[in-house]
Amino acid sequence: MIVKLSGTLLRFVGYKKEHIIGEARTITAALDSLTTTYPTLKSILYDTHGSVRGAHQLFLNGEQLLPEDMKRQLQETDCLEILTAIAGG
Amino acid sequence: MKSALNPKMRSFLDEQVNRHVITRDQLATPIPKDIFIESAELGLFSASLSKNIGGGGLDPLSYGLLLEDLGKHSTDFSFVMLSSLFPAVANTIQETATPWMIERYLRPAVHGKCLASFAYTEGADPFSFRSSCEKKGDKYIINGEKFYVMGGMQADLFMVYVRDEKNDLLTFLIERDDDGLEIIPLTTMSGLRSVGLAGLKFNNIVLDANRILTPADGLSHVQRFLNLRRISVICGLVGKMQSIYDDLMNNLIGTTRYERPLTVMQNVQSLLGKMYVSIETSRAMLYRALEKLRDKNIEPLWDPFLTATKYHIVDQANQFMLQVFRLAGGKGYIQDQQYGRFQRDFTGLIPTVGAQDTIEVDLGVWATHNFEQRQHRKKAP
Repeated sequence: MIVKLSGTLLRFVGYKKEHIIGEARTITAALDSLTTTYPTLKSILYDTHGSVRGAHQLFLNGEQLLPEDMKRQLQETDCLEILTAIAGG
Repeated sequence: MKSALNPKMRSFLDEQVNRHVITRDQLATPIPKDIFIESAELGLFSASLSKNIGGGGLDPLSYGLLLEDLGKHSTDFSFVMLSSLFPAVANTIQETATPWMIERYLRPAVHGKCLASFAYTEGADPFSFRSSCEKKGDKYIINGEKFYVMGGMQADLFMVYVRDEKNDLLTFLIERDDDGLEIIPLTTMSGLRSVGLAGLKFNNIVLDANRILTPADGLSHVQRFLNLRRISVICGLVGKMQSIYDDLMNNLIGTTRYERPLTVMQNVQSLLGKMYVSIETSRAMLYRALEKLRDKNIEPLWDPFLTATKYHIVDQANQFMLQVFRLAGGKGYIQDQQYGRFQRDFTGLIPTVGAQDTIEVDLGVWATHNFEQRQHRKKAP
């Protein structure tokens, strides 16, 4: 499957927009794999309770995901996108 | 349409706010704090604050209309900005305030006696903030620096975002008189020169845990605040565009060229038409945004429509001022009507609560996702 990132998050993944994740059965597993490769992304993506921070919106094949969707099963052809809209003051 | 401001409020604006606006602008003098106490006594400053703490409890739509009217009648746009900023911060504090915070900060805020601003920006993305807190025993040590704090010269309290050792963003309440807080006046700005812009430096400020407003994920906290602030910041702008338009129209009708008033000339009519479109499209978007806020029909952290509304109105207002100068000619340029001051003030909205260019990118990315989402729904069985 592919994980796509944009904007603010790119600096934490070496400015690479697309990441092919080999073995990931769930969304949580895919994100875990990504944060293992890029450890600094972990505290940016997750809060201290291990939940994805509210500032990030997740989309699976264009469908917006809710927090309860994190255990959803993935297929090899799936595309997970992370959209982060952060404003300055 | 009936004014949302009562006669006492309008008289207060004329006598206390509008009278000294030109001098304040020239000298970059912050609006005095006492003005907000008087504004609170009239029910203006406290209109949006919760009834639980003694505020007016206006719903977002009614409050937005009040701010629009304030923009129309106040000739100091900095006052309009601060009149919406301080209560917006107080309302955000109230969402997670402890009983101690309510008594110490929010009840005085209703009377204009505790002005609360927010300190977030520090010339870096929020993942690179240098301002930090360090836990030592049961105390927290705050160090760092914040740029561009609106109302910083007047504020009694600051809602401050700093990083902890785990790289999480926490929100603290720092009082003006806390040891180690340095407030640096900024006076070189182009517009909004009486807004009391300041930089803050935190030099080993020692705080108790009772000053923590949010113990984790301050990033979501500030985005929620900014999401709402994008609307309260532009309500007055629509009112101000209307009052400038009315003033300009009055001047054009009274100006004769070739034995006819300027308003019968087609090029003038065309520009007036464009400006009318600017005002009415801005107002239409604003009212829809206010209704969405009233109905709680928004995305809590980053709502695309609220964001688009801020973008549109700020963009329209800045284009509108160029059109004012095209029509006002020499009179506009020599500052009889203070159009130049308003033009400078309006530029201050470009980088505020989400810079215009950042908003364009975010909305473009969001729109692409939204399209894909709709396609996905179409394909779904």
